[in-house]
Amino acid sequence: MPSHDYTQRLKGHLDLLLLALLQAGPLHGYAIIERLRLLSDNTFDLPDGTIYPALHRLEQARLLTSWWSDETARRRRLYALTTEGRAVLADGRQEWQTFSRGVEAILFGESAGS
Amino acid sequence: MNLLDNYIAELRSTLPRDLGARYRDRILQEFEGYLLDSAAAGRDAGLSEDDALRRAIERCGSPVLIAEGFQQIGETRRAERIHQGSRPLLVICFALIGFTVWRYPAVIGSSHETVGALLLCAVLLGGYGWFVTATFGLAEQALRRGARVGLLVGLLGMTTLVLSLVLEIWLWRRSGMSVASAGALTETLNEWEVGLPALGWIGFTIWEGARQRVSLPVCMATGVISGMFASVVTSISALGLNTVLSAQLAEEVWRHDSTCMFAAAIARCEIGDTLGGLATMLMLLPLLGMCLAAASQLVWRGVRYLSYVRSPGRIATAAGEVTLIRPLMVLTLLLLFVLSCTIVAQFW
Repeated sequence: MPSHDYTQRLKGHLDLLLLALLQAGPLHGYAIIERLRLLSDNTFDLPDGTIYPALHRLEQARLLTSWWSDETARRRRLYALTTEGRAVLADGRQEWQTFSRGVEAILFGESAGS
Repeated sequence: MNLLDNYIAELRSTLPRDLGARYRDRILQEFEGYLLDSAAAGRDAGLSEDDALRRAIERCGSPVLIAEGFQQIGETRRAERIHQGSRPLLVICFALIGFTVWRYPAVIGSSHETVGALLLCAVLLGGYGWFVTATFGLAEQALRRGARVGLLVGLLGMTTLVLSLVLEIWLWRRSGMSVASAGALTETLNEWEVGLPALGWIGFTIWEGARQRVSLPVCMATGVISGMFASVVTSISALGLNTVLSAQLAEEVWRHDSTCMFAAAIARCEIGDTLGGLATMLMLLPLLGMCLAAASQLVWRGVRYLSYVRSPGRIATAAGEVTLIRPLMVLTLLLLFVLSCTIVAQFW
């Protein structure tokens, strides 16, 4: 299956992945993008710039909060999860587990049983 | 200008204007930071400065694609700005009108010019304004459509009012016409002055209510906002015009009006009389708009159901919007309370 199909699929789950990436602590845009690339082992070929609208959308929905950090030589905007964001992430994880279990049961259940 | 500046300039020109200048600056700063970080990583990996920056820009993606992602955010921010700007403005309008209404003797209950009464009036109308504007939170669609109808009708009302006042002044100035004939013509003018915008408002509100494929609460909110904008614009224009033209109107027109003919201060009495009507309109139009929009929506759904265009099971209120009906319920209760107070005050 071509890789761009993974990218298309990612779009529906990008918000949840971003929330998950920020669970460990605040990160700036570039670090989020790098971590997404690293953890997914370059599975998703998404233009890096498209991550920012998603981050802003999540901030607008009050799932993320952000601020400028002057701790390094270059000023960076840090993003962090809000309490609401944590709750949405927890729900999202639960839903994903249920969903993936269901899909896996159908896709692999029969062959596993035979 | 280097590659980075070119890219940032292109992104600046493609980002939606609805985001606002400050927010756009923030986005551009973030992108600039990202590109510099990404280019630094490229340099660390052994690329030349230009190649590293070129790779960073390539990875970032097309500015048009990025700008598309910000489109919805821009629209939401615009709606938020309208909400934030409209709420205090409308509450102030209502409170000001409320204070003025209470000051004039032709309005029921206005003879009790105490500080408490003034405060009560301000609180009632201010609270009413707040509840009405609370319906802004229902949907951007409702706000936009309702405000468009309301403003359109308000402007129509202002036009008919200007024409009517000018015609009335001209009519009473004319010699050779009996008071009875001039009076009858004035009556007709007054009917047109009110009737034309009212008919327009009813028509537009029904139209907006029926043509929307949205849930009932959003539809009702459209009616409320339509009524509120129409009444606020009409009230402010009527008050402004009556005050500006008060000297001429008192001289030519109002002295023939039986309501205030023998009042010590005709202008004060007439403006007070007008304010009474405006206060009623301010109270009733949003409620009436809500009912009209809801009724037309239900009729439209009924027509669709009967013609089997769409399955009736699918014509349901969106689950997320059910709770949003609460402000409308509170508004209705408040209106009933205010109307009850007015009736009690009249008997008293």
